This record gives sequence, C-alpha cells and structure tokens, in this order.
Amino acid sequence: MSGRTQAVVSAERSSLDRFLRPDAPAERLASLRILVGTFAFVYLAARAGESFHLGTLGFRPVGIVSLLIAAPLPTWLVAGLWVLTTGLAIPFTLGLRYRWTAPTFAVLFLWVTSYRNSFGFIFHTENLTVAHALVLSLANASDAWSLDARRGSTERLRSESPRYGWPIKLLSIVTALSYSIAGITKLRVSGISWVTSDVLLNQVAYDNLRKAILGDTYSPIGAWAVSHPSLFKPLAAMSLVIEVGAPLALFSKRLGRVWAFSMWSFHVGVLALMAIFFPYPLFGIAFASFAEPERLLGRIAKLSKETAPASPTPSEARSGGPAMEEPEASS
Amino acid sequence: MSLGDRPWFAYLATSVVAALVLSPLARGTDSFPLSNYPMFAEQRSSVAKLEQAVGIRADGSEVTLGPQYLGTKEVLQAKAHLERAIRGGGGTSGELCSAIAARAHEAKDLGVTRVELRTVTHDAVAYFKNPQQKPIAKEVHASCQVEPKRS
Repeated sequence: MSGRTQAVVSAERSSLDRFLRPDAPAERLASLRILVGTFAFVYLAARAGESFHLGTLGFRPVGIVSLLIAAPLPTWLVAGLWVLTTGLAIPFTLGLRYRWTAPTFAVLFLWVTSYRNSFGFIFHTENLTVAHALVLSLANASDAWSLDARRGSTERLRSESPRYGWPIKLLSIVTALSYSIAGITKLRVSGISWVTSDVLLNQVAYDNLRKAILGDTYSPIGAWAVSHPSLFKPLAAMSLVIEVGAPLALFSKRLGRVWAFSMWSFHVGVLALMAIFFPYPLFGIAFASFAEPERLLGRIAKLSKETAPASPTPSEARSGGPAMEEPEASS
Repeated sequence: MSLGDRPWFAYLATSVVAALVLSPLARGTDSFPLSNYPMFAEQRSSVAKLEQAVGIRADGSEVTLGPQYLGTKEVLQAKAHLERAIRGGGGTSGELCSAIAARAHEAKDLGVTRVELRTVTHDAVAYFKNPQQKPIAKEVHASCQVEPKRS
C-alpha cells in the first residue's frame, strides 16, 4: 500500500476507528513483545526457586486456578509447569513460531502466576505483566524483529498499519484502566478523606512497621517521612489524581507520555517510602506502549553492532541495513 | 489478510479485554489477574496489631524471625501464614511454631533456644520516632523449644 493510498484510507476511517486502531510500525509492536517477553523470562527464572516450594500451607485458589482445582498440585507438576513456562518465554520473545508459542506461553504464564498467588496473598506486581502477555499473544507481534520474520513465515506490512496499532492501544488501555481502578477503589473505600485525612501517612507507617515487626527490610526514608506528616496530604492528592485520571492518557501521545512519567515517578515514591519494588513499572515496561520503544531497541541494536568486531553478515551485505531489519513483505 | 487486520477482531478483543479489566470494579473483588487493587485504599488507624515470630536466646535477648523462617521470601505471605496459624488456634499455631523452631535450629549463628508466636500492638507513627519502645500490648499464642532433631 503506498503512503498516499494509506493516507486516503486513514482519512475515510471514523475517529473511533482511528482511536482504537491507530497506525503504528511493526517494529513498535515487536519491541513490546521483546520487552514483555524478556521481563517475563527473567522474572520467571528469578522466582523459580521459591515457586517450586510453595507447598500446601494456606492454599486459597484464585482466578483460573479456582476454576480448575481445589487442592494444591504435586511439587513436580508445579516445578514442571514453571520450567515449561520459563522456556516458552524464549520463543515468545524471539518471535519463533509465534502463532502457537505466544498463546501457549501466555496461558501458561497466567496459570503459573495465578497458582503462585493462591497461597493467601495476591501480589499485585504481576497482574499487568500477565495481561500484557495475553494481549500480545493475540497480535501480529512477530512480523518484525523476529525469527519468524527471518524465516519468511510472516507477512509484514511495509508501512504503519492498524494491524500493529490496535494491540499497542489495547496494552495502553489495560495499563490506564488498571491504575484508574486502583484510584476509584480508594475513593469508594475511603472517599475524599483518602486525601484529607492521615490515610496515606498511616498506610506508610503501617507498611514499614509491618516489615520491621516481621523481620524484613523497611524503608529508612519512609521511617523518616512519618515524622513529617505535612508531606502526606499533597502526595495523596497527586497520586489520586494521576491514578483516577489515567484514561486521559489514552487521548493524546503527549498526555500519554506525561502520564506515564508521572506514574513511573509514583512508583519511585512507593519504593522510597515503603521499600515496595514493582519491577514491571519501575523498569518502564508497563508504560512502554505510551512511547516509541523501537527507537531505544533500534539504538541498542545499532550500538551493539558498532561495538561488535564481526564482519557483515550476508543479509546485511545484500541490504546494506542493520541485521534487525528483515526484508519486508509487501501488503 | 490476517485476523489482526480485521476491524471486528480488534474491536472484539478491545471490548472483551477492557470489560474484563473493569469487571472487578462491579464485583468489588481482588483476584488475579483481575483486581480492584484494594491495597492502601482503606482507612487505617496508626495503631496496628501485628503477628510476629520471635526467637529468644538463653540470655533473654530477642530476635525477630523473618519470612525465611516461615518458609517464604515474601513478607506478606509470611504475614498471611502467621495470621492463619494464630487464628487456627493451639494446634495450627503450635505446628507453625515447631516448623519455625526447626529452621531456627538449622541457623546455628542465631543462638535461639525458644520461639514464640505473638501478636503485638504498636502505634506505627510513634514506633519510628523510637523503635526501642515497648509495644502497647503483647499476646503470646505459641511457645516452643528449639531442639536438635533426634536421629
């Protein structure tokens, strides 16, 4: 499709269609696949040891686990599923036989994390990662920068397309709605007194006390801050506005980036005040759909090529471009 | 034309996913991965009752036994284990106390001779002004000796 033809087609689309299915390059969706897949792989590998030893104490199934089983699984099966899921994160990330490996990985990822959350406490650190992996598994996320593309088994569109734009928009919708829900729940449970009373001060003090009493690391900044109560009401107001207003971030690129940075800063604050580390947002992956992550990955790929002493590969010699640029199929 | 090119598929996927993400608001439930994210939402007094496992040495000094002694790395999971065991009464709290004592015995440098499961009450804000202050209230639910395993 030529640029002119595409411009005409775009102009004919309704504003709702352009909102839900914006044009985007294949590399942007591919970057999100690589970021989410790499994060999931590292996360699963890092949590493997403790997840093999969940035992049976306090089993309270949640989500799909509650629909399918009522008693804990044997350790060998828990460990086997965890290893399989970790292994499948590799083809997901590399985009290898993506049509099959991606949904299989995403469903198993949902299962193993749901199982891990079925022992008395729900870790809210994993919800977004799992939701993003599920969304990406539905999309044509291996049309670029993938082993499938290198093998010529995908049909990549030459120009920006709604095919790549709608999953990116959906990732942003999931992120924005999730944060908005957190803000709405605060208003529902505590009302505006969440801002006007000492709720946040007491939450920070309680969270750090809980860690101290249970023999865990607490935040020295949080411990210092609770002696300065006037800090907390402005912080509460800001965080509530950013959370409840999250859906506004979907309506313009600029707003999206401002919101993503604000939300990232909020997580930095949570880390500083409560020593709670939410890796997915803190590494910026939760908010990558609001930006152009392909620029960063492209730059990293270019830098690593420049620093590598290797001679050009046959495909580079033919195309004159970097190795990440596979030959494009026309639409 | 792939499925991803079809507008109806994008609309359907977006509608279903958005409805699922929003559904905990209607149901008011915290599950996984669909949640209403209730953490930090509720009104909380600065006075807090918390369960803990404490190791007591022969000289009477005390050490808080962290999540690893409760068989987890996660502080919130440790808290849930303690709460459930204490709520379950003498049998379950005694069982957990023995399991913690066995782990404490393996940690030789700890020098703990007895383990207690307690509920302590503190003013959280006041605690950080003076962490050495005694709790407002203390209740011991289980106490067990740290003994070498008999072979």
